[in-house]
Amino acid sequence: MKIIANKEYLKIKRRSKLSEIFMCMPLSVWVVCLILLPLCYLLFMSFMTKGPMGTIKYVFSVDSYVRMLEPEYFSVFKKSLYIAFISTVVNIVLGYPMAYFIASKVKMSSTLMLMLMLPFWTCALVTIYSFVIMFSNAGLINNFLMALGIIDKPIDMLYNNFSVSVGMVYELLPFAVMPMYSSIEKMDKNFIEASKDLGAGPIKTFFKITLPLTKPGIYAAIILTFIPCIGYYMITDMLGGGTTLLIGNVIYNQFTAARDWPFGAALSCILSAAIILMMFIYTKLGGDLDNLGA
Amino acid sequence: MRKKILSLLLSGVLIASMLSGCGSADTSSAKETGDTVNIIVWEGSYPDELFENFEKETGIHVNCSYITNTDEILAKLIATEGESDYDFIDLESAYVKPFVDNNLLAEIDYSNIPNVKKLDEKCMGVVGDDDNTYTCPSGGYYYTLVVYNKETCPIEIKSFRDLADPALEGEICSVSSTITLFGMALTALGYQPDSTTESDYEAAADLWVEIKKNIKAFTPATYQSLENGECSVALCYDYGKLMSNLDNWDKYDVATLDSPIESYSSTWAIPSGAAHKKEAEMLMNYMLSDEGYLERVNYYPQMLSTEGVRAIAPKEIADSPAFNLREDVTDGAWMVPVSDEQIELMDKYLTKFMSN
Repeated sequence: MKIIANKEYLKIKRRSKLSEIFMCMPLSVWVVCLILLPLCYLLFMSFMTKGPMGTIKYVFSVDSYVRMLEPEYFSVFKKSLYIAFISTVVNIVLGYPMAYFIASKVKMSSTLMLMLMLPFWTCALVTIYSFVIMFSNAGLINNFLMALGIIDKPIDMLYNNFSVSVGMVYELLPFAVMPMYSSIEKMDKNFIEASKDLGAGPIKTFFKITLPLTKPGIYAAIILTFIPCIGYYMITDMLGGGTTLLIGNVIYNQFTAARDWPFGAALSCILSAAIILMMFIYTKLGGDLDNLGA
Repeated sequence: MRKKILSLLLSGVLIASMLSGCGSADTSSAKETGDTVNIIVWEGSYPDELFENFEKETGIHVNCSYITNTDEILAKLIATEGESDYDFIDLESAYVKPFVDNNLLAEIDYSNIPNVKKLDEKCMGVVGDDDNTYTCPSGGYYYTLVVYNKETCPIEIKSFRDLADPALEGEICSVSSTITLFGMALTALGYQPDSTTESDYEAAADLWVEIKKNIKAFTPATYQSLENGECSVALCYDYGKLMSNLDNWDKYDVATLDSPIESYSSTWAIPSGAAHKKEAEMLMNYMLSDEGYLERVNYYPQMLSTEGVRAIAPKEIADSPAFNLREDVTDGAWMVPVSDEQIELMDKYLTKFMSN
């Protein structure tokens, strides 16, 4: 009797394992074929040699990695990190009050979140180009202000830090707001009540209670904003005038005009490694990668 | 059980969708009927009506894709030894030589393109294919020019080096093609535009470090920045577009530089493994006919290079200052092929001056 029950148990266990495998299969196939294999190929390519006319010679070489040590590339990495850092700070500073506002307006929160998601519904290139049209000297804003007689000559809004900042915030703000909103919404409001009851003012309550409790959301927002920012060169190119070379530009150039795929692959690998390192630091600081939406 | 079937079905669909992208494109039906020509051209160069009219006239459907980068096509064709999904490529003059040298193009059968005889003699031949064996000229030449607003440009520009004048700070917009940037700087410094000497590029990069201080934007649509008043000087390809507005004729002018400028031409080519070579040649012939040429010119203003089109083209194009450039501007204009050696040097020094 016991043996039969044991056999039945093993059969059920085997079945559930098989069904687990089947359930995971679509995602596993997807991840392996479209993420892991291309990444492996990229890594492989980065150790090959540049051939004539944009081809690859399958000869092992570490030249691409050695080349990255040249000061120009260090400067490009530094500039990319700086722009990503500034954009992240701006997005967090603007995104936190917005997330707080959305979370506090319970009835309107879904409508507000929907509005926040609007940039995702259109191609980024189109939205960025619409800013070019709006901000140009003969654009919508300048024409409107001049028609009203508020200004005599157009204000320079395009190809400067202002236009880059607007573009960066517009494109990346949803990445910053969503995890922070989720974190603020989940926060136990009783702590705030308790803080008030104990005599703390709104500022003290914010810094002692709200901010520490919503830290996971802020960390997640930093990760989700900073990472895409590093490779985002479209905004600086189109709204900033393309006078600053970022790591994204260099990678793009290697795969196109410079015809040096191994070097482009090596730069991509280093960029990916830097991002993985950041994620590692994030988890070491107590962040939870399974819950980036906080 | 239901979940299992569903997951199996999903896996199947995923694998099938992924595998469907593998292998070469199936052009067998098109090959048999010969009623389609697959072309890859620069966006904004040809109106859709041109291809629709060609289809009406010949029954051949034009399947159009747009080029993002010629280097990408070059690398793909080398990897596949000329086998391509395309039957027709728009090829700028600087790239003709590497395509020809690597045997990536088919010889053109000019018996299918009688309209080529209408082209002015000076349009024939291109660097890397002097007798047009592999490339068919699409029309006349284009030039990279220094264009300025006569009212707002703060200095008189006589030399390419004048672009580094501090008076022009934030006043210049420029195209970003490395061949153009280095070619113009090299010739301004007295070097050959196709130099392969590293010190020449170092000097050119130093000049660009100075010019870059005055650059407001590197943009492909320089004429828009000029028209909108964002800049008063432009290193540009699209003077023709700027001058398509008659109001601009008195407002802008081209600087006469003390060094030769870049010239280039647009050619049409057929990959050596093209499936619809004859259809591609028929399309070339149609685009060189008076009607076809006029449609192209009306859509993208350009030099008029046949008697027929000169007779029927609108006056604002025929008489445009952009297509009747002064000889002192175009004298000695250079057109060079681009080699791997040059590209390596250009990339190195581009990173250097852009990261400065």
